[in-house]
Amino acid sequence: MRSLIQFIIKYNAAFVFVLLQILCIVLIFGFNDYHRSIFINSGNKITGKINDKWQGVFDYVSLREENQSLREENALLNNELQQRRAYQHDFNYFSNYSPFWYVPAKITNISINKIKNYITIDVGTTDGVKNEMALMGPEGVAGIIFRTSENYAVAIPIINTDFLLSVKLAHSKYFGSLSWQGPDHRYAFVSDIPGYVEVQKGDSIFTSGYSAIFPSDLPVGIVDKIEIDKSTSFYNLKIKLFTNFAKLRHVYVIGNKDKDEIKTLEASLND
Amino acid sequence: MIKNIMKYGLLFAICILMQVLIFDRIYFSGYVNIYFYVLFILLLPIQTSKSLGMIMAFFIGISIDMFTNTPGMHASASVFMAFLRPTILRFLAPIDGYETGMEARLSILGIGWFIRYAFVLILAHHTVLLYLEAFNSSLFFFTFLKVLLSSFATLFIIVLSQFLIYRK
Repeated sequence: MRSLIQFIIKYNAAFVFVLLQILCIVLIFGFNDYHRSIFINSGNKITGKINDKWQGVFDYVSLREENQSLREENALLNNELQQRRAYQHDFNYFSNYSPFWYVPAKITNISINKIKNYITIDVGTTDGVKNEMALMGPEGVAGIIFRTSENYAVAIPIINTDFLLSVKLAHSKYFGSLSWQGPDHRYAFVSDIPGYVEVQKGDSIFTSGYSAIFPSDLPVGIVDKIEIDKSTSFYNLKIKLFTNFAKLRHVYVIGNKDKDEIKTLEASLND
Repeated sequence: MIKNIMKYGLLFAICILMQVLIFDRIYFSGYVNIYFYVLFILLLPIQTSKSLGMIMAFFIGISIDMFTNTPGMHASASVFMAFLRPTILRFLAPIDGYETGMEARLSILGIGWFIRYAFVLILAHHTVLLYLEAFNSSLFFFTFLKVLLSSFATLFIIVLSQFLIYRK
């Protein structure tokens, strides 16, 4: 026993090293999603505040640019509203019920230079934001909410290797799945579109609306490069994203009132 | 002793704030990330015991992890860096050894010494950190380039900071 203690004292640095590294490895790999969420959210109570205050400094610097982009978006939305009104006038027997509702939010922290990037926004459960809601930037789809605390929420943006989204081609309406493999935050990839579909450079990509998270027909990006995988004869499309993550400041969280109903219905199939 | 605790406490806070408020928001092309906070580990007194150094490194690493939503990665890389530090110090020791209570600072030991010392440790830290981050993906060569470029960028900023803060 004594020699054991002497051994430990002699090599104390090695023991401390191994202990600390085991602790780190447990943190990195051992955490399941639930534990990880506690880590991330407890951090955000303090760190979210600090980031929030600091971001305020930059908000003034980019006010002019921000105003311009908000004006443009307003104009776009107004146009759309007019069109909808005209449409509804023609077919006024259509119900104007929409299950989707919007919460405006400001980004307090965003990373774009990692493999697993995250966005922190300044709305949380008190604003009605829940996990698995959609995050939309002024130009297009931005990400999906995956953790929430009282006043903040963390989203997985498109530029995270864990992100997956069902999308469709504007022309042919074929479905594919959008993912990101890094490292460039301006481009993502769409796979699972069969090779016999006609695809052209510049084709727009929209959300398919098949997930109950995103409404359908939200803009995602345009086709930038077309490649075909010889072994599977499916396309591998390089997409230029509409959302510029390097400049993203204001976003919307999109909730779906019917989501729980859809989820329960789908879950009942498995019983 | 108390003076030292105050001094390193302040350095600890400054390193974290500089990292999360400034350097985490700088973006060059996806290849270059600056991890300025390793300065804290570099500047610990030379006589700091290996274990104490690693514990301090763990705390600064885990603090950065809190901000960047990466549980454990910065902590792991920092602990590894602090583990190597005494060995590198012994390797680079001047002929007549270090004086007691000496700090590993550029203004004391000279620029050539500091660059060699800092670069080896920064490279070790960035290698562990960036490969842990790229784990599970086939980005070996991309990460390799990223480690090299980021190490040079971090080294440059750290050397620059030494001229700005400790100028005589």
